[in-house]
Amino acid sequence: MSTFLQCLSVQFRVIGALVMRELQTRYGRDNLGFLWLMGEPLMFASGVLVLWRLVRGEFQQGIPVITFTLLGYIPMLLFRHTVSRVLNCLRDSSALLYHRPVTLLDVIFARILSEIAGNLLTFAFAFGVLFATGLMDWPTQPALVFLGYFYMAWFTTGVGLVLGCLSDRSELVEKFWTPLSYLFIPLSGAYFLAAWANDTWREYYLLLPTVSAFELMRAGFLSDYVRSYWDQPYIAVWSASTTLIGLYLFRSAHRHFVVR
Amino acid sequence: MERGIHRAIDDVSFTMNRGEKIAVLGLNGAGKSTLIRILSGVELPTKGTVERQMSLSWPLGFNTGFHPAMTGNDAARFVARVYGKPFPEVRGRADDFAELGRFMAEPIRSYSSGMQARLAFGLSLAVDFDCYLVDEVIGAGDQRFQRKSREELFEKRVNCALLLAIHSPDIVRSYCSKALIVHRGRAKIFEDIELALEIYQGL
Repeated sequence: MSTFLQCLSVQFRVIGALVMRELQTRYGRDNLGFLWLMGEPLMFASGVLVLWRLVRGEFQQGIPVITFTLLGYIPMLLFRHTVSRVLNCLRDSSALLYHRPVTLLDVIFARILSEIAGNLLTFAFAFGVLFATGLMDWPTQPALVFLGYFYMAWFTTGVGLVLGCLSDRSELVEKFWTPLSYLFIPLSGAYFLAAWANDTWREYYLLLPTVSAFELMRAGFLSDYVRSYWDQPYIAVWSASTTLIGLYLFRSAHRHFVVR
Repeated sequence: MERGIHRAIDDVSFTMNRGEKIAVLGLNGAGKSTLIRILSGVELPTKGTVERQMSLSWPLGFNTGFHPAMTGNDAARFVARVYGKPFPEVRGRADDFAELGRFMAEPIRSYSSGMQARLAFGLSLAVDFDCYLVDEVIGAGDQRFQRKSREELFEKRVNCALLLAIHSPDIVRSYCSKALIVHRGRAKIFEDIELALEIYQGL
């Protein structure tokens, strides 16, 4: 048992080193350095929010627009951005593998974790600013917000592992992902409340796994305005299976890996 | 267009013992780099196995992930964490060899190629591997670097194994006990260094 724990601690250390390297090399030390990890998505988010607020006014269908927009945009950004950063991530990692403790799985995890961390920081910062200016209220049920975000992050990790591994074996993955990622925007549940669907359609709507994550987060903020619907076991199963499939695929990833 | 399997190296088999210094001789394109990649574990052989019972350095002379935006200190921190050594020690020992001083806080992109080589070398010395893989790096560089690297590898680390891909016969003669000649994807170990060098010159 001690060797398993030793291996795990080595893995944490290696992933930690890779994450640090990721932060240092993506943004360097000039011009605010790694704060750009938040900066990129924050700029997008602000633009989207301003636009929506101007176009829609303060409320839409009885729901505060700013909260609604932020809760749709940030988790969706987490998924789309992380997956796009994971595709072909392995391709440039030959140099790192020369260090014997570093494995392909470590490289992918480091990439996924740094993206999640960046997104979380963005979320916290954006909420902080909006709350301070009175444009957003404090969540009525913060635990649900965390839970929803957690599911989104877990689901993203699972999909990231699978696509990250497969993208190294075939260029088709990247080609298919580009159009699919745009389809994901409406199909994710980011901008459509389950409450807006009638009972029969709502059942089908909840078959989209990420809908539950969005609904949980919305419940955390908007429970005074609208009822939310979710299926925790459903998204948990999706997240767990994709994660397990991803980990399984990584067992043979090195065999298929081409050193560049 | 012809397609098929290109065997970069074929049917290679040898043993390396602790403290042994083996020179790898061969023309460019003979398969030396492939051999080093397989030994380092980054590439898996299509057939056969590599059994390692010594800790193995990254191949010195290869590009191994020290990104140009990282500083010397960042690189030392990276190596310290990956290999589980304390950072001050790694940084200290690396700089003792590399003699970069205040440049340790500067990004690697601002270094000359000589400085980059000294940093990578210094970092690998700080980790105390049982076996070092070196790809022609100590044949190049200024005379101070050459002297220091020979001192570190051959005098201070008598008990370390060394696999050295090199073109310089003097180093082979002075320090290596065996030579592996790689030619057109085949390889053979020679215990007679003079014979091996003769064969290599004749390739």
